[in-house]
Amino acid sequence: MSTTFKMFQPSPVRMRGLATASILGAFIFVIGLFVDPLRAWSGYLMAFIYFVEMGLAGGLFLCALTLSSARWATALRRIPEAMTASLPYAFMFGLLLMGGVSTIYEWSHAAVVEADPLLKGKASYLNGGFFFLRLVVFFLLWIWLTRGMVSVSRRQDHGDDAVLARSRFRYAALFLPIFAITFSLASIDWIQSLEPHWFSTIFGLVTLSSAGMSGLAICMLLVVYLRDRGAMRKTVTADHLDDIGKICIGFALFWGYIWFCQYMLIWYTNMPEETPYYALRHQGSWQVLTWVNVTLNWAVPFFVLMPKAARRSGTVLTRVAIVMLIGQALNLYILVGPPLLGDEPIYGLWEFAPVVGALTFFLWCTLRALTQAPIVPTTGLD
Amino acid sequence: MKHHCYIGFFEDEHELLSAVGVCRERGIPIVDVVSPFPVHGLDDALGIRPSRLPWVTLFGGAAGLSLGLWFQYWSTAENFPIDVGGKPWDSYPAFVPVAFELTILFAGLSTAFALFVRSFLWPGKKTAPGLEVTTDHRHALILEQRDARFTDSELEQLLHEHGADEIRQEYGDMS
Repeated sequence: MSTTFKMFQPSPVRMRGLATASILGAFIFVIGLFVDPLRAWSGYLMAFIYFVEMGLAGGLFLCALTLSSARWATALRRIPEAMTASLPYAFMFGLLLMGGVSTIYEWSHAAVVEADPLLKGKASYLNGGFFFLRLVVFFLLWIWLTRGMVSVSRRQDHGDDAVLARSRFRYAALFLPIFAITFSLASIDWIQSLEPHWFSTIFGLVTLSSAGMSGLAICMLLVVYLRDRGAMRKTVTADHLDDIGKICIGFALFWGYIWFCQYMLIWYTNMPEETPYYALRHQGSWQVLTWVNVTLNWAVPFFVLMPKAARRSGTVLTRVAIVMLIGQALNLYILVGPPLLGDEPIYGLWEFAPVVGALTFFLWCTLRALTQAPIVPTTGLD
Repeated sequence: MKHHCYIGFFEDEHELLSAVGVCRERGIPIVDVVSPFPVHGLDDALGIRPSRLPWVTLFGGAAGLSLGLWFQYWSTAENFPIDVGGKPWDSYPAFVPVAFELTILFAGLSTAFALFVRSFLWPGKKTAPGLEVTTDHRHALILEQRDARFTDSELEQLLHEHGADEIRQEYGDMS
């Protein structure tokens, strides 16, 4: 392998398109704040979580690749690295979310909490000040550790020595437990506390599997894109695609497994403090969406990627990735929507625009970060 | 049938792959390649047809799934209906975990058995002598000398050139 520094440059038209779509999404959200604040903020929450999950999935993949000393994916490592570049922006969006706390979280109203013994008992944890503090701590930890992994990895381009490899390993080993705890707590804070009477001990895994799915979908899109039009044309082989396809089947199974675990235990025990969550999601058209959700996130990736030929085809992987991204947006809608939007699903511009804006802005951040380092790491390749 | 074979041992799978490529190019018959782990791209290099084993897995899994669902339905809804927590007798969500496990069990076992049967690995089967190192860290490339176009020394030299660190001649049944 020669050590030429191959750089990647996305087409300015594409970057402008992504930027325009993101700004449009933000603009529509601002209008929504005046027209229908509740729907605007619930759309914002979905978009925010979508955005954070994808960035963190990059950190998680990087951490897993580092800790397992995986060599098969060295050529693709820049992609998860670039995905973590969105986290500082996500922090900014998290701070903005504080503006919507009183609109979407019922525990933020002192009068409601006072009248409700259950919420009163949870008030020492679920209150605006502590919520804000946790949000800041989570993001600072995530940004510090992902930055650590990425900067060491970039320094390795100028000579791979044992000290650097060890340093990256340390960051990754630290990231793993911290991520597991903080991400679980964050998903309880941001999503589960929308229904503060309900609880699920598996909730952190539900959101983790979603993060893995949407992050992997982004990886698949970018790998195929960079192979077909970008600088990775000669580095990415059908074997790489095959491996990514297999991970994708694994994550689809993991997502379906966790989804069903939570559902079946609550359905089976049928306890009054747990069932309202699914009662709400199984009435009217929400039930149809629940079935579509399982189809898009589990059945489609699992069955479509089963034949080897499908996993080796860039076209098939791209299509599956798009289905997964739509599926994960829908999954978030079902997680966030029912307590805020009511008995029947409402889906319109206020929900759609922020989510699309988040996705395009994420792609914009990632593509921009990909230009900042050689597109293929120059050391550690087979 | 007795063969006259050359066995080259390789430490490195890249050298093995290039040796396989050259043999195929020059039409030297390859009896088999024995490796301690799956080598990426070896199937293509050897020109092996895609394995039909996944179909066995698929049908085994489907059989396990249907058997799991059917048996639970038959036992709890038809043969001996019991009221559990006021749920309907045919409560399919409750059947899923068992059906899921049976899917995996049947898929896994049928794959393993199909592999054993297809590769003639039955109990008491003797290992090919001298290939024990291939279960540890070395790859063996077995070539057959049956073509007068290639002299013995030519084969030996070819294996050497591609990094074989040990070459052995065998007369016998290597399949």
